Amino acid sequence: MLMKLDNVSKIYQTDGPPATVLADISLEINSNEFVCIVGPSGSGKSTTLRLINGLMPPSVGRVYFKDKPMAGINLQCAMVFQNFALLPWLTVTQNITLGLEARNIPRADAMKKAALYIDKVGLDGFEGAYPRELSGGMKQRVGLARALAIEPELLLMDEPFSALDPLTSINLREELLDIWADPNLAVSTVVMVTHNIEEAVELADRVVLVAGRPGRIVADIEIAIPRPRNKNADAFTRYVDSVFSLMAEC
Amino acid sequence: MAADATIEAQRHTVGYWVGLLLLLLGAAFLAGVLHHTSRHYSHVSSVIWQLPVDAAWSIMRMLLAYLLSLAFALIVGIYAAGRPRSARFIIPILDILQSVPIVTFFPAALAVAVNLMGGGTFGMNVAAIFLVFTGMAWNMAFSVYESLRSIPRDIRECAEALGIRGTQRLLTITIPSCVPGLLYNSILSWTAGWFALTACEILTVGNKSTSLPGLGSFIANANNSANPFVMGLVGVAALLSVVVGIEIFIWRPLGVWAQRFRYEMTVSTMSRDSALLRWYQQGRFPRFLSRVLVVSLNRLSNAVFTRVRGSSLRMILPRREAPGYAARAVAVAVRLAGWALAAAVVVGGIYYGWTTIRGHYSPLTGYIPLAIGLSFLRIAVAYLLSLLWTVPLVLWAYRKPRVFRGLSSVSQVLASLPAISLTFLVINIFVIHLHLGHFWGVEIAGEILLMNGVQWYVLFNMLGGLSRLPGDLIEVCDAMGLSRWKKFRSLLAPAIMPSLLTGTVTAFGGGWNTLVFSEAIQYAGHQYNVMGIGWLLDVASGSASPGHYAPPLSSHQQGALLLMGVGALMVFIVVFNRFVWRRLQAWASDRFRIEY
Repeated sequence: MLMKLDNVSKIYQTDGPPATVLADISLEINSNEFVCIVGPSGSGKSTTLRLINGLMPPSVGRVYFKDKPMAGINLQCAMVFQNFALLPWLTVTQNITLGLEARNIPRADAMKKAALYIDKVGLDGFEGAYPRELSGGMKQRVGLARALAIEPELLLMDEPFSALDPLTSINLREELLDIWADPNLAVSTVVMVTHNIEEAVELADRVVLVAGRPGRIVADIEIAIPRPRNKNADAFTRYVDSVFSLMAEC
Repeated sequence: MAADATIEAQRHTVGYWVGLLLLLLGAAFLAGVLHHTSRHYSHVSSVIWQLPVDAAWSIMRMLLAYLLSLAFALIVGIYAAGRPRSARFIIPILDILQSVPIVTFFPAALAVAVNLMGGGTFGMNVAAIFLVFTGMAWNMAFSVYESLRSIPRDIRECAEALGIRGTQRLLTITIPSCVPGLLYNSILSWTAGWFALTACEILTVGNKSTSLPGLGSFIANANNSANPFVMGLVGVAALLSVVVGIEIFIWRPLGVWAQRFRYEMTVSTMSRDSALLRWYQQGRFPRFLSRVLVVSLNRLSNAVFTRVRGSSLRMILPRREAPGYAARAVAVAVRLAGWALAAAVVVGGIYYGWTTIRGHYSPLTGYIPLAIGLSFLRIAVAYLLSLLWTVPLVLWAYRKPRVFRGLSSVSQVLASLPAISLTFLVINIFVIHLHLGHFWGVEIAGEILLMNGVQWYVLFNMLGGLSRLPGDLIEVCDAMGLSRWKKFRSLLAPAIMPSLLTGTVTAFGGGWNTLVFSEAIQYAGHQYNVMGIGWLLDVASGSASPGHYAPPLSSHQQGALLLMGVGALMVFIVVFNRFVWRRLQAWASDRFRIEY
């Protein structure tokens, strides 16, 4: 087991009464697993992801990484953001080496790693380009390469495809699965937040449904379909339908 | 073909207006010199040879004050943005410092500072630089604070998740995020700086006046020279050429460089920056020189970005740990010491003020409320007159990109002209040539000077507001076939309301600053005074006469009058900001903000 959230709640202290966003979340994530967290907007999916990364502390309960309680930001995680979060004044390469430099990795090694992941995400030829010169899909490739380059034990993705057009996101999903399955690449465990149920069923080993206010885990469904998955197969649509109906009940 | 033609035409616009401006100035300058040569040839030519040296001195002072302001802005802005509890104190203090017209007590402050440093030009230079700093720093610090507060959330999270901290964070995220806001505010600060410079390069104590070599003192002295009209013209021409030169060779290349530091969040159809970029790509002569600056700045920033390193070796970065007892005790002690110091300053200030004022009342003290009222009225009139011409102009220009761009640049340049530099013009027209009499002539001349301190802020801010107006809203109004009036009422007026209010607040601030020049005009050995707080403060600092209102004041009486006048004005301005402007601004940004 890689990660564990143990009876975690998150309460925001605002000006008004305190707002509980997440209540009693218990979740285990195993190594080599691809987990998708789905749910309606405002259910606390993204907050869950930030608790896993350590970007915010839980108000109640504990978060464990490799059986040790976490007390800060976990640098063995890497995050891919919905709106890419690229620094506009840095080139593609500079954006990617940012995290490597933070870890004080020698410059030559950092450049080598950046080149490797630029190649893996198919951005060859754009090393010196600035984010504003890239299309949405290419920007997210940079975001992905930046996360992969630090070779994290756990890759976190916050609605990584929802700002992209449908065709681009289909392509990127396939490439993500290839990268995840590539035995030569370090990344093996993925937690992804999405509101797209089909996307979740297509990618994940497990789909975790978070819903309600405050958000709770409503269902934790194993997707037992071998890859590559056919979206038109009966088994696929049955999974999609069952998650839909669970979500509608909340 | 049509598109090519417009591009071809646009290529030359900037060059055209700059050229035109220079040509006009040159013509005016030549005319003035020719007019003058018959009589005082030697004097004028020696002055003209002196001008580049004067300009260099002034630019040096401005540059030093600016660098100080930049350092101050970054340190204070970054500190406040990272510590919300401190920000609760820092931000209101900056706000008050920003809204108090420091120019009004420049002469007095200057005298004190120079005496403290044992007199001499060194002390005066230091004092001048410091006073220009007080005109430049506050808005820049605000801008740093605002820029850092508005870094997108995902960028902040991304930096934290990647473990970017310390120096790496400062150099790759914090400072770059401030660049666009700082650049815009630097331009405003330089405008304010030129204004301050005219007040602090010349020092009058009693009957003795000392001046530093510089454009500011040149302009201030011009009004009392043998031929004030020509000298005034020469001064304005010199200042304008410096301002235009800085705009072309510094601000524009910097603007091009700053492009890369903008977060992409809004899509605007006609932003100043895209116009800038186009200018940069298509301009000819200035591009060659400014390209050197852009390229070297880009090299420098890239070198910084690729060389800066972090040091996060631990794999779980701890959040800031709860401080131990010792650390907490130290923090409490520091805070107590700070409060004690603040209390001591306040008590000392009150005591000093009391001893200065006590027993030194003059007949003028009683006029302070009336003076503030009259001055406020003058500013309000200048403001309304400004609206009268700027609103129609802006509405006419807002869909003509070339006119629009030209307007922004010209208004920026003209705003740099301090009121005092136009004295020769208004006095000549309204008092000497039109024979409007002492009362109306001086009142109108002063009002025109006041307008110069007010109108550009209104114009700037409206132009800025309109350039951020989303294009699709304009298109919707066109598609619905709204009449001009209807479109003005339903779209344009509400859309520019927030920036118009910002412009109003800064315009009134500019107005208060201008009063000391517009209510007590010295020209060719004459004094043209009107009752108002600007005049009163000039009397208090000894640079204007009390006229028929009172016999000449003793230096104690002057000190008391200065303290009470400045105090009353500060209270009036702070209270007015708090209870009128702040509420109006909150209402406007709440009601008319355009959000998607």
